[in-house]
Amino acid sequence: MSDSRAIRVSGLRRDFLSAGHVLQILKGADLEVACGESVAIVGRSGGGKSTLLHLIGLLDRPTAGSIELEGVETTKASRATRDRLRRDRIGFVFQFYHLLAELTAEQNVLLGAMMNVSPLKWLARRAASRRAAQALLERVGLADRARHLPSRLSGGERQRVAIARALLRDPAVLLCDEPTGNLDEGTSGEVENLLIEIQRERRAAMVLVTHNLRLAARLDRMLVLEGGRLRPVQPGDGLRGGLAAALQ
Amino acid sequence: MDLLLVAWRYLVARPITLVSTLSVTVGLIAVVVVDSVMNGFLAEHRAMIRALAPDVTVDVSSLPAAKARRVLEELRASPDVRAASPRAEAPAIHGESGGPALVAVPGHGDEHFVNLIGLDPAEADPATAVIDLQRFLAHDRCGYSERARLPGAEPDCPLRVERRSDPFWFDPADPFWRARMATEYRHRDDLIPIVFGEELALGFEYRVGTVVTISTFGGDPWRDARLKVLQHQFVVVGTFVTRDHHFDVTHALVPLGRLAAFAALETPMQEIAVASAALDEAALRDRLRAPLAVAGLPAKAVESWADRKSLLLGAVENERRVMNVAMFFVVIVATFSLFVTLHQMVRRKTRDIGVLAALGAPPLHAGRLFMLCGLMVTGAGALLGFVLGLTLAHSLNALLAAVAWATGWHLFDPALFQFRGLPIRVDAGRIGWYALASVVCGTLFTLLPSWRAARLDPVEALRHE
Repeated sequence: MSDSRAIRVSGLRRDFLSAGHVLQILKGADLEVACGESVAIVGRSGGGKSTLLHLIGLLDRPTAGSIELEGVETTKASRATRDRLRRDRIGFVFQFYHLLAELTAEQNVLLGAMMNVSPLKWLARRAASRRAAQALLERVGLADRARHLPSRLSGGERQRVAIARALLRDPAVLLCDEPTGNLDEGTSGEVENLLIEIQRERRAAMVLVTHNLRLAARLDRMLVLEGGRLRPVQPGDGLRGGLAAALQ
Repeated sequence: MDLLLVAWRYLVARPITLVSTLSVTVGLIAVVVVDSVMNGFLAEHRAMIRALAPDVTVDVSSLPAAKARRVLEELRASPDVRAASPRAEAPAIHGESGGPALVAVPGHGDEHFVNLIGLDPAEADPATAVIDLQRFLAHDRCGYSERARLPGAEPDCPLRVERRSDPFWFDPADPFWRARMATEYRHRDDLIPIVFGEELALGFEYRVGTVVTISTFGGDPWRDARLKVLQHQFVVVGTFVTRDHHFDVTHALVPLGRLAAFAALETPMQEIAVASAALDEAALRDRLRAPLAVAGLPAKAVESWADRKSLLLGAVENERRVMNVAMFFVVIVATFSLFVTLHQMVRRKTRDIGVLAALGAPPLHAGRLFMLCGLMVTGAGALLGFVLGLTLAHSLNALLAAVAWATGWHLFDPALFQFRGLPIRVDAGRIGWYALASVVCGTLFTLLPSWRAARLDPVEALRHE
C-alpha cells in the first residue's frame, strides 16, 4: 500500500463481557481506506458497526488486531498520543448530532479548537479559529445561525453544525455513524450531498456506517460487516436482493 | 479553554447552581457577621475589663523593700519599659463620717468594701505615668444631676472638680474646698484625699468634699495574734470611670505614701506597674521574666494584664471560636448542596462527556470540567459572601438603627453591656481564611461527582440515553 493509505485495520477483534459470557463482536475485521476515499459499512443492527468506528476513532481499544492511522500504529500508542490523534486527525459525525445544548452553533464548532488550549493561547488563536468556524458554517449553509443554540435549530441544521464541528481541525479521517439516520428523507438527501461534497473537497478518508443503502451506494466502496468480519459487496448483494434482506 | 466555556455555560443554564452559590454566600455572610460581632465583643471586653491595669505588673511583695526599690530602678532603666511606678493595695471598709462604725454592723462589710489602690505621685505626670489617669478621671461630670430623673436628685453637680494635673489635689484653704465641705472639716489638713469609682460614689451619695471614714486592719496576719483596726478620715476629691463596672464600685485611689502610712504597710511597694515602650504586653512580660528571675522573682510574679483576666478573656475567645465553628456548619451544608447539584449534572451530561472525548479530550478532562464547575460556584459564593459580609458587618449598626426606627424593634440593647452600639471589629484576614475554607469545602464536595465523570467510558457515555 502506498503512503496515501489513511486507515489500515487488520485482524481487529473486540470482545465484550456480558452476564459472564464473552461476546465476540468483531472477529478479525480488516479494512484499508486511502486518503480521499469514502467507504460505507453496512450490516445488521448490533453487528459491531459502531464498535468498529469507536475503535478506528481511538475511543476504545481492541481485544486484538491493529489499527494504523496515517501510518501510525495506535493500539499500543500511549493515551496522550491517542488523544492527540483523535483531536487533530479524526472527525466524528454522530446519528444524534451530539451537540452541547448550552453552546451556540459557533461555540460547538469551535469546541475542538479550544481543547487543551490555555485561555492565554486561546486569546491569540481566537480570531483565526472564529474565522475558520464562520467559513465552515457558511459552507454548510448556516452562517446566519452561528449564535443560535441547538434547541433553535432543526434536525438537519444540527447535523450540519456537527459536520462543521468535525471538520474544523481539517481531519484526515472522517468517521460518520448513521449521519442521516435521524433525519427525514428530504433533509437526509441534503445532508448526504453536503457530506459527500465536503469529503471530496477536503480529500479526507471517510468511513460511514449506515443502513441507508442509497447513501452507501454513492460512496467509493461499500463493505458489509457480517459475522464480525468485513467483506466487499458481492454480486448477489444487490440493493434489491440479499443485501437489503441482510440489513433487516 | 473549552473547560471554562463549557463550565460557564453549564452553570448559567442551570438556575439551581445559583442556589448553591447563594447558599455559600449566605453561609459566609453569617460567618463574617458573627465573627465580626464576636470580635467586637472581645475587643470591648478587653477594653472594659482592663480598667486601670498596667501592661505588666511585677509582684514584689516577697522582696525586702530595698531590693524592691532596686527592681523598680532596673525596670525604669530598661529600654523596653516606657514607665514604671510602685503600687500598693489595701482592703478596707468605707462609710460616711458620722455614721455607725461599719465593722461592727453585720452585713455592711460586703456593701461597703473598697480596695484602696495606692498610686505613686509619678502617676500625676503624663511623662512618667504608667497609665493615663486623666483619661479616667470624671472631672466634668455632674454625677447626681445626670440622674436627675431619680426622685430627690440634686440640681447641682456634686462630682465636678477642677481639672488639675494632680488627681489628689486637696487644699482645705482653697475656696473651692471651703464651699464644698462641712464646717467641722474645714481646716482639717490631715484628711487623706481619695478618688472613688463614680458608680461607688453615686451609690453612696458621696460628693466632692464628703468626708468618709475608712477602716482597715493593721499588722501581719501571719505573725500578730490580734490585728488592729485602723481608721482614718478621707475626703472625696474626685471620681473615676472605667468601663469595668465591678472595678468602679469596689476600688478607690489614694496617694501611695498616705496609704502606706494609714494601713501601716510593711512594704509600701507591693507591686510595680509597668508600661511598655513598644512591645505588646505579652512580649514585654516574656522579655522581663528572665532578668527579674535573677532578682529572685518567679515567673508568675510577672504578669500581663491579660494574664490576670485570662479566665474572662478566654471565655469570650472560646465563645467566638464555638460560634464560628457553628456558623461554618452553615457553609458546609451550603456546599453540600453543590454535591447534589453536580451529581445530577454529571448524570444529565454523560453524553457530553463522550462528545468531549470524541473531540480529543483526555480521560481526566471531564473530571476537571466538573471540578471547575464546583470551583466557580463556591468561588463566586465565597467572593460574594466575603464582600457582602464585610459590607453588612460595617453597616450593621446603621441597619439595626433603621430597623428600630421603622419597626420600633430593638434587636440589641447596648446599654446592657455598657456599649455604645453593637460592637463590630472586622478581621479581614481571618475572614479571608474562612472564604478560602469554604472554597476548599466546596471543592471537596465536588470531588466525588468529578471522579465519577472522569471514570466514565467515552463509548458508554456516547451511548447514554
